[in-house]
Amino acid sequence: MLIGDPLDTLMNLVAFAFLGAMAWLLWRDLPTRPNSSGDSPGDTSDQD
Amino acid sequence: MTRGSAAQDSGTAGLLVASVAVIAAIGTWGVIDPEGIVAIASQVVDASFRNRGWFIMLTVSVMLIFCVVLAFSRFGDIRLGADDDRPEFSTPSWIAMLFAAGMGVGLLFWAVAEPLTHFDFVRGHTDDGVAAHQALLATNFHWGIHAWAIYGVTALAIAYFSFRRGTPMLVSAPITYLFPKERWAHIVGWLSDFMAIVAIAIGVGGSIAMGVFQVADGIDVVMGGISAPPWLVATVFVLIIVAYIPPLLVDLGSGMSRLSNIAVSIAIALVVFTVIFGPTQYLLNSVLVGFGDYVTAAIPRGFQTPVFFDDALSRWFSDWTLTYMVWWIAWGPFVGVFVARISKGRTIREFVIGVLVGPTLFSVFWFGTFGGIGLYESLNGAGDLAALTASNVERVTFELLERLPLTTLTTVATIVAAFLFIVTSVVSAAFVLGTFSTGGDPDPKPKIRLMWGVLLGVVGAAMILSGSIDAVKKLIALGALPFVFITILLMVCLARGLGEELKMEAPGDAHR
Repeated sequence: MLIGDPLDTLMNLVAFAFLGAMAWLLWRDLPTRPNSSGDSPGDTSDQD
Repeated sequence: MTRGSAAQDSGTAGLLVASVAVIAAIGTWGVIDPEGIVAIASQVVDASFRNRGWFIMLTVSVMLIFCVVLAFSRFGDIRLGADDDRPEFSTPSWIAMLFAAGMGVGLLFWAVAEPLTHFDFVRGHTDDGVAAHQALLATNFHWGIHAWAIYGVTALAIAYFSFRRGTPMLVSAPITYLFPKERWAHIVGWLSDFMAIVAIAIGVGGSIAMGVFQVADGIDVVMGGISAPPWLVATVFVLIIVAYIPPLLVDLGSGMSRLSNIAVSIAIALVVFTVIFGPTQYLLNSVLVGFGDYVTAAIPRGFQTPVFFDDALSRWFSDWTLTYMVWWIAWGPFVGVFVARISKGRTIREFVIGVLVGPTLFSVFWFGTFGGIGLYESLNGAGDLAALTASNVERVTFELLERLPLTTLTTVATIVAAFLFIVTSVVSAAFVLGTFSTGGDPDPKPKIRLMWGVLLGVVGAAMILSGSIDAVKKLIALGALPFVFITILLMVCLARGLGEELKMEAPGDAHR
């Protein structure tokens, strides 16, 4: 028989679901944050 | 106090309690029933490696590609810090510190033993010359650029969000920073910190065990014994605990980094000594051949799995390649925080090139030399060292030193270096665990540090009682497996953060 082990399949599906979630995180819009309007991360003024 | 900060405080307290409880439970279980915990760890790790070996190798290779793309794209110009920040340490000093943090005691432990173990295994499948090439290649692959890509991604994510976005130095910080109002992000963030703590505690516990085995065997060699007795192992363990507890209670400033530099200096002196007093031209050839083999095969090897191998080779692949990759992932958060701290002011390009290339070249030289001299003994001498790797792996480095001049001096130097590597690792780990478990406090209270120091000792004791280095490797892999997912998440967060930064700069803005 060429049928795979169900546990193996399940664990690999979990891995694929995780990769799908990561792809969604890369694709989706980032939410607006309170401090994200126009401040440049490299500005010395807001760094310690 | 706002509702949000109250929830955050209770999450932090919950993290401290949960992580301490889990680590204490694992440590106690390991002390009471070492065989039981190793059996379960072996089952879980073997099943995971069998099912998802491809996933681990793909993750590691993608991390390497990600680092290279960042370095050679416009993201490479972004500075880890404010735009006018400059590096705190000189580049050679920075690379030495990277190496000490990333490899530590394992470098001394496996210097000769790992290439010889692979050689002994592969020579059963092919002729000796090919086996020697393969042995060095496998060792360089395990300690090379892929390992540093894992550290690099973790450190970059922590450094970027901390130094440019002002987050605390936590594994969860990139996730909760990008998605501050989303509940899943806080749950995943909490779990990330929790899993980072577990991975660090078990990984450092494993290092304690490895260091104790090696120091005990070194002392036994000096005393003329043939194998370190249990009382000597126990004494060395107690000495290490006694050595690392006081630094946890006081702020030693740069004292710990000085001790770490001494350990690295001893390691460098040992490798130079071996090249000069050993078969010099043979070793330099070995380094060059090892480098050439590695450069031509490193990237394709990152995409290899044992799918078409026989059972013995599949077993070897799981026990070595996959275990190493997961091992580096286990050390990722610990080394990542340290590397992030010492890298402020560098551009991403400088960071990636330094982190990936510098330590990898040193590893190639290190294993080319120590592996080379071990192979020389196997191919041209009695071949005792290769046989010893199967019976007493801790002793191989010392047996090699016995075949070189100034044996007592080099043996004592190796013992001192191993001792210093363990003590500095445990002290640094207790600080990082204190920071993680208190919601990002950069200077956790002495009692928190002491508690983590004690727990690391308990986990170390469990690892020692497990009785063998193979068992230690299984336990480390078990602790690290869940963190594979978190490492990928950190990479995604870093990509989003960097993308957002470029978007925030108006076209034509040339402030960098």
